[in-house]
Amino acid sequence: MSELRFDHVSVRYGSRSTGLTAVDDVSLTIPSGSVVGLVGESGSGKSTLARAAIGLAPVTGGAITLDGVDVAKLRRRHPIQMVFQDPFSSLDPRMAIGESIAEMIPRGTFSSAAAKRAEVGRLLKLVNLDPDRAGSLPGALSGGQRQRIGLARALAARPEVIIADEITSALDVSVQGSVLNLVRNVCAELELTMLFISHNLSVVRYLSDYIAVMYLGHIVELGPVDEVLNNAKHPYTRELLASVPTRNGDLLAVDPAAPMDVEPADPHHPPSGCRFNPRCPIGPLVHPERQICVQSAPQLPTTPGHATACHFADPTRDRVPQPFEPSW
Amino acid sequence: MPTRLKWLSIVRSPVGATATVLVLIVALLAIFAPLLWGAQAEAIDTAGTQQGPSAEHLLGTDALGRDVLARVLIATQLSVALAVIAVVIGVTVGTLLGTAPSVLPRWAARLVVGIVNIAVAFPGLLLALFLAAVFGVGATGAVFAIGLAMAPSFARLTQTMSAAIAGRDFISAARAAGVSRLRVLIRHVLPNIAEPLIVNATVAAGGALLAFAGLSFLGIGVQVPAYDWGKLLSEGLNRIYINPAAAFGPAVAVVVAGLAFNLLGETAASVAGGRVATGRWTLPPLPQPATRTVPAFPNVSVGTILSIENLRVSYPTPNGLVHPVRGVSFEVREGEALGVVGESGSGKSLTALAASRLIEPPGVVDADRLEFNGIQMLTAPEKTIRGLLGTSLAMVFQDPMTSFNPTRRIGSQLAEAAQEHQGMSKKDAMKRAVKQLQAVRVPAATRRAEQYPHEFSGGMRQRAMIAMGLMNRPKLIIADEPTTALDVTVQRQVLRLLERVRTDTNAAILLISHDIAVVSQSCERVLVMYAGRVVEDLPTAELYTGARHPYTRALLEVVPDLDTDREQPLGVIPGRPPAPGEVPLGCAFAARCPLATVQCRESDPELETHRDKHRVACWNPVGGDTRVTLPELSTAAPRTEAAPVATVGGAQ
Repeated sequence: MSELRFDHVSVRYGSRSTGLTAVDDVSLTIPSGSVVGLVGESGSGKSTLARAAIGLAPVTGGAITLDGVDVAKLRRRHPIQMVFQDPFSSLDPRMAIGESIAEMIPRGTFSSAAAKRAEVGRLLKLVNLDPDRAGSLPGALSGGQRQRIGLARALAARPEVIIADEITSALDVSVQGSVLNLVRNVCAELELTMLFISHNLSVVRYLSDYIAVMYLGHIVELGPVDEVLNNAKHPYTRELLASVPTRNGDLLAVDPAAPMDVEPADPHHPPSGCRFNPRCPIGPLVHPERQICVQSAPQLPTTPGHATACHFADPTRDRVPQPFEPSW
Repeated sequence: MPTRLKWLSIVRSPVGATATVLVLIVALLAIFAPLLWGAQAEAIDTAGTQQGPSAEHLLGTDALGRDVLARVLIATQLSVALAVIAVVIGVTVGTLLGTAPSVLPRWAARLVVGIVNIAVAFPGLLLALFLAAVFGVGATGAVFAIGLAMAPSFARLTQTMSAAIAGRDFISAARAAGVSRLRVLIRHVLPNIAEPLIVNATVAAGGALLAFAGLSFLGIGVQVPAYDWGKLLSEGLNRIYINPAAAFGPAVAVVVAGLAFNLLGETAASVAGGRVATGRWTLPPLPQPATRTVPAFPNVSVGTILSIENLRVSYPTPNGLVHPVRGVSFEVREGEALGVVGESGSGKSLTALAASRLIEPPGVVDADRLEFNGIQMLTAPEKTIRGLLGTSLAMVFQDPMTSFNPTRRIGSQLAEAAQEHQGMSKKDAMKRAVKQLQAVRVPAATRRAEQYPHEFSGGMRQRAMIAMGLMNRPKLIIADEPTTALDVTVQRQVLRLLERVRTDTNAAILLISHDIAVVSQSCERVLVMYAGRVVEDLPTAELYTGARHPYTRALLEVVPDLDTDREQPLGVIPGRPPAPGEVPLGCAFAARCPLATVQCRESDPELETHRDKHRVACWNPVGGDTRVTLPELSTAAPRTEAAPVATVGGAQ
C-alpha cells in the first residue's frame, strides 16, 4: 500500500508582507496504485505542491503523509521520486547516463559493482533503451530518450510514488506518445502511485484515474476523470475544457455571457473570497447579486467522489447560499 | 560538438593561435632557459659592467657585468612559477570559500558569504600590498599575498556559477534521492563549473604576473640573489639613461607573457561560451537543387500578399553547409489565415524569419522568388525592409518579453512605431497607442500604457505585441508560436484576438505552431513541414479527413485528444526527424514511414498539386479511407530507433 495524502498543505514563500502563498490549504489523497492528474495554469501552484512532496519546497502548514507517515521522516528511504519537465536540464551533462541512474540506487542495495551495473541495465531495458548505452552522455540522446532516462533514474530509487511534472511538454508530439505509453505501462506493471502534472488536459485524461484542477493555490474541482471532464461543475474547469484545442472543438467561438480578456489574477495579491471571482462567468461580474463570491471562499467538500469548490456550481440550486462558516 | 574539437578551435582563430604560440614559448623558456644560459647569466665580468647593447650582450650588462638578456630569459622560470603558484592558491582558496556556503549550516554559510562580499569590495592590489606587509618581504610572502588577494573574486565567481547550477533539475533530482550536499557539490556542481573556472584562472595568471612584477619592482617581492622580471626591471630602471635596453628587456618580457596568458584565457572563454564560430567563415556557393522544375506559381496572382518560391536557408558548420530549409514554396493571399505546422527542426520558424529577412549572418537566405506586397525582399535595400517591418509587415514572437525594451513604457514603445513610420507627433502617436491597446482589449488601456513590460502578464504582453504590430495597419502578421508560452485559456484569447484583427483589418496571418490542433482551429489552410520542406498543403477543413501525406496522418494520429481511446496505447512515430546535416537522398520521412518504398529512399518527391488547393509531396499518398497504422510501443524489449515496423490497414 502506498497512499499519498496532502492534508491541509500550505506552501508559503517570503515574508509575511511580501510573501506568496503558492499552495493554500490543499487537501488531496492519491489512492494507492492510482494516477491523479493535476491540471491548472502556470502559477496555480501545481508544481510547488509536487516539489513539497519530495522536500524541495517548504511545507509551511499541514502535512504530507505516505500511508500515514509524514514524508519528511521518510527521507532516508526516498519512496517518492520525481520525473522533471525539462529533459535537457534534468540530467547532469557531464555524467554518463548509467552513472546518473546508479546514483539513485539506495546505498547497500547491491553489494558488488557488477550487480549495480546489471540493475542499471535492467532499468534501461525497462524504459526501452539499449543497456549498452549506459556509458553515453546525455548530449548524445534525443529529448524523448532523455525523458526515458529521467524515468529510469526515478525508478532506480525503488519508489512507491512517482511524481511526473510536465514530462512531455518539452517533447515533440511524435515522441510524446512513446513516453506516455511507457509511463503508463511501467506504473501499471510496478503498481506505482502517481501524481501526473500537466497543463495539457488531453494528456492528463489519457493517463489519469482522477483529476484535480488547481487555480491560484486552491483545488477547485476534484473527481474521477470522466466525471470531471464530462460533467465539469466549476466554471474554471469549464473554461479550461473549452480552451483545449481539439479536432471537434471551436476555439474561436465566443460565449457572450463570459467576461472576456480578463487578466489572470496576481498570485501575490489574490482576490478576496473565491479566487476565480474576477474572471468568473457565473460570478459577481455577470450576476452582481452574487456578493458571496467576493466575501467568502468556497470550500472543497470532503465527501468522496466528484467535489467542487464553488458557491454556485450546482445549477439546480438557485438560492443564494449563506456565507460559509467553518464548523471545525 | 565534442569537447576536444571545441578546444582545438582555439588554435584556429588568429588571436588564439598567437596566444598559444606565445604561451608555449614562455613555458619552454621557463623550463630550459636556466639550462641553456645559466652560466652566462651568472658570469661576473668586472671589466664590462653597465655596458650598452652590443653584439655580445644584446641588452647590455648589469652592475656586475652579467648579460641582461640571459638574465631576462632565466627570470622567466621564477616569474611564471610564482604567478602560477599564486593562481593555484587563489583558485583553491576561492573555490573552497565559494562552495562552502552550499555545504555549511545556514549561519556559517551567511558568515562566509559576508566575508567574501567584503573582501570583493576591497581593491585587489591594495589587499596584496597589505598581505605582503603581513607575510613579510620576500617571494613566499608575495605568493601568498597575491594568491589570497585573488581568492575573493574566485569565491564570488564560484558562488555565482554554483547558484546557477543549483537551480537545475538534475541537482533537485540528486537531492530528492538523498545524495548528500557534499557529494552533490563534488559530483555535479564542480565538474559543471570547472571549465569557466579554468578559463578565468588563465586570465588571472596574466594578472598575477603583472602583480609580481609590480611587487618586485617596489622591492617587496623577490629578494636578491633571486631575480624575476620585476626585480630586473627595477634594476634596469635605475640606469635607464645609461642603458635603456636593460629596462626595456624585462618590460617587454612582462608585457608579452601577461598578454599571452590574457589572450589565451579570453579566447578560451569565448570558445567555452560558444562565441567563436567553429569552422570556416567563407561560404561556398549555394548548390542549386538538381530537380528544380516548373515554378509552382508561374505568376504572382492578384490578391497575393506573400509569394515564396524555392526558399532555402543555409548555415555553415564545420562539416560544410547545412540547409535547415530546403526549397519551400507557398503563397499567402490577402486576409488569409495560413498555418505552418511542424516539429522542432522542421524549419518552420526559419521560413518565417527568412520571409521577413530577419535571418542573421552567418545564415544565408536564397530563393527563386521572395515577394511581399510587390517588393522583392531579396534584392530590396536594407532601408526598404526596415520600413516594412512594423508597417505593412508585423511580427509576433513566442516570447514577447524579449521583444519589448524592458526599460521603457509600453505606450511609448508602441507610439514610437507610429512616430517613426508615419511621422506622427508624439501626442497623436500616444493617443493611437492607447487606442490600439484598447483594440486588443487590454483592460484600463490608458493606465497600462504607462506601465513597463514586466508589469504585464504573458498574455497581456502578447496583446501589446500584437497592438504594436497593428499601429501601422499591417497587411501580413507573421506570428511565430505566439501562444506556446501561454496557458490554454490565454491562448484561446490571443487566437481569438488574431482572428478578430484579421476580420477587422483584412490582414493576412501566417501562424507558425507545433500544435496541429491550434492551427486547425484558427487557420483556413495549413502547411505541414518536415525536415525543411513543405510535405503537404491543404485546407484545414480537409485536414482530418483528406490529408494524404503519411506524416500528416501520423501527426494527427499521435496527438491525444479529449476523446482518445484510453484502452489503446498512443500512436508513436518511430525514430526521429533527420538533423539538418543528415537529410537523406530520398524523402526525408522515408525512414519513419510505414508506406516507404525503394523509390522513396532514392528520390525526394516534389510538392505537387493533387487537386484544387491541395498539394502533397509523396510518392505513395494515402487514399481517402486508408488508415496509417502506427506501431505500438511495447515495454517488453528495447526497440532500435528508426525501425519502421508498421502495417497499413484499410483499403490499399
